[in-house]
Parts: sequence; C-alpha cells; structure tokens
Amino acid sequence: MTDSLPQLNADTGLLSLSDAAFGVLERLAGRGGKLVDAPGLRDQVTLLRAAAVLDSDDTFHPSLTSTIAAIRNADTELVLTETERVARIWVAADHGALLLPVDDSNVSQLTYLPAWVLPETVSRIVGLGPRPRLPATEPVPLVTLLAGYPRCHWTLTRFPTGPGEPGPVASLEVVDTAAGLWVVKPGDDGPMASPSDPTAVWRAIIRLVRPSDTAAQTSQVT
Amino acid sequence: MTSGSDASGTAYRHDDAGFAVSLPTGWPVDDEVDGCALVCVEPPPAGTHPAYLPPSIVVTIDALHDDEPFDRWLSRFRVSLAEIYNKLRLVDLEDTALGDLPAYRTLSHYLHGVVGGVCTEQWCIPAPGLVYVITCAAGTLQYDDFADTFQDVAAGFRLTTR
Repeated sequence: MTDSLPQLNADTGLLSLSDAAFGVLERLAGRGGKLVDAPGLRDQVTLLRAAAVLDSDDTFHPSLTSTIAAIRNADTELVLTETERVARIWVAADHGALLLPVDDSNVSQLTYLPAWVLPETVSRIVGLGPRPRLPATEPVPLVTLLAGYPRCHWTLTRFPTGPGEPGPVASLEVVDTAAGLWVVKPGDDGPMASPSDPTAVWRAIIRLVRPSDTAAQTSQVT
Repeated sequence: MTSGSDASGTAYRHDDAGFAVSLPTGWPVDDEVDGCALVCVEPPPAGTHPAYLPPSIVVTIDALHDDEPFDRWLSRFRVSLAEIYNKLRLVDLEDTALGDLPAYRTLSHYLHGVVGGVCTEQWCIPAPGLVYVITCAAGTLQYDDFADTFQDVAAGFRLTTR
C-alpha cells in the first residue's frame, strides 16, 4: 500500500501524515536532522520533501520549528490510550507537541501546543467534564466496571525521555461511567477502581503534563 | 473590616458586606475594588515570568432581583461563564456545603489572551436576597498547587450580621 502524501498547513504548522512518515520525522527530529539508513526511510523522506515538510537540505519547514523543538527537546512524553485511540504528547519546558490520530484512517495530525493548553487538550480528547458524584465505596475490581459498558476507559502515562531513565514515572487510569468517574490502581488481585470526581482527575492530569521542573513531586498522581 | 492570623490563614471579616472568610496569610487584601467586596492576590514570587498569573481570590455579591429564584440565577450564572470567558470548558459542577451553608461549586478552564490557560473555581452561596460568589483563579499549570488553598478559603466562609 502506498502512503498518502503528508499535508502541511504552512500557516498553522498543522501536519497530517501517516504513521510511517511520522516515524521518519521523529527520527529526523531526534537526530538533529541527520539521516540514517533504514528500510523505507528514503521513500518517506521523498514524501516529506514533496509535501514541503523538508526542504532539499532536509531542514524542517519553518512552520514546524516549535513542534520539532518540542519533540527534540522533550523531557517528558505522554501516551494517552483509549479503547480505540492513542495520542502522543511531548513536553519540553513550556512547549508541547501533540500527535492525534484522525478517526477511521491511518493518518495522524501533528501540532504544536503550549504546555498550558495540554490539560485542556487531554480533557477534550477524553471528554472530561461534570459527572455525578459516586458514593464512597470500597475499591471494586476493574473487570466488574468494564463489564458494565463504561462510556470511556482511558490511561494517560508519563514517560521520561532522558537517557537512563527506565519505565513510566506515573500514570492515570480512569473509567468513565454514567454513574461517575473511577480511578484505577493496582491491587493484590488485579486492578481495582475507586470512586473519583472530575476535579481530582483534572488535577492529576495537570500533575502529569506540566513541565518537569514543577513536577518533581509527581510520583503518585491519584 | 477586621483581620487576624492563625495557623490556617488570616481571618477576615467584612461587616459591611456581611461575611467572614479565611485568607492565605501574606496575601494582600483590597476591599475597594469596584464591583468586588474583596480582592486578594498572592504577591508574585521574584523572577516570575511576565505572563505569570498570580493566584487570586475575589468575593462578589449579586442581588436577587424581583424575587428571582436562586436556581434560575445559578443557571444564568453558569451560562454566562461561556459568554464571558474565551473557550470555556466546564470541568466540574458540585452541589456542596460550606459549614451549614449550601454552596454550588463550578470548576472551569478558559484561555486568556496574555497569560494563557486559567483555572477558575467558584462557589456560589445563596443568602436572603443575595448570592455571594467566591472566585478563585490560577494559571492552568499552577492550579493544582493552589486548589487546596482555594478549598480552605471556601471552607472558611461564613455569613455575619451586616
């Protein structure tokens, strides 16, 4: 199958591209623009050049400067997992970049976002908003909640991107039901869900996405 | 107006407006701002970015005209937020209580042209013929640092004799 041509809005820096093309772009960004040999790399570079994402010297289009800087200099990467969608977010100081799949396609959209807009962006993607308050109750097995067909089940995981820092630092897993929000934590007999509320989830999202210089205390987000 | 400090903050009593509240110690209070009963803003730490939004606490008082039911006022108030603020997102609505006073809390987020994202947390407290509104605001990425302080401020709100 032939990959579609990436599409760049040169005014806004919004870039639509395939997963394969993004893989190449990410490598170029991470390697400071130096090409490496890899299967299919040259074909993707050709497509990126044809779309003016790269010029003949493999320099990124000026409208992508902030986006690429956020990816290249990120000290945090976040992965948002839903039932059918995954978004990736890079945070470098006050700057962020978001890669969000377009529904029903193999195309994603890459855009620059200031860090302060990231909590709202995550909330918009997962539909966070006012919910009924759940009564206080003992944690229940996650499988029990999922059997009740929740409206949404998502996880936001924060990964360090610096060298030598293994594994996720923290994550927030939420089950959104008609009765209210639940936050999931590991339990002795598998994941357990406890009642939560939109304010607590909003605060946890902020702690996960904010720049690392203010997030040193983020070891437990719920 | 009277005030005094203790471990939980500075007690502040506004006799003319008929309320008392506990404010963060060291945050200056201005009770002469047009349209506001009280404005209290954290002194910005040294070296903060020009676009840093210092966290703030504002108390306003709205009259219930023509015997308007509080529920209708509250609906109008919440609808008006989307008209006042740019790209407002409602995060949470909560019917709660501050001591023995019913209170109706709204947590929202909007985009400010200069400082960027702002979290606004508001408690509406009905009283005979009046509604007291406590509005607390902070930059999006700072909100989590001040959310407990804002909750303490609201929890300390009391009606007094005018």
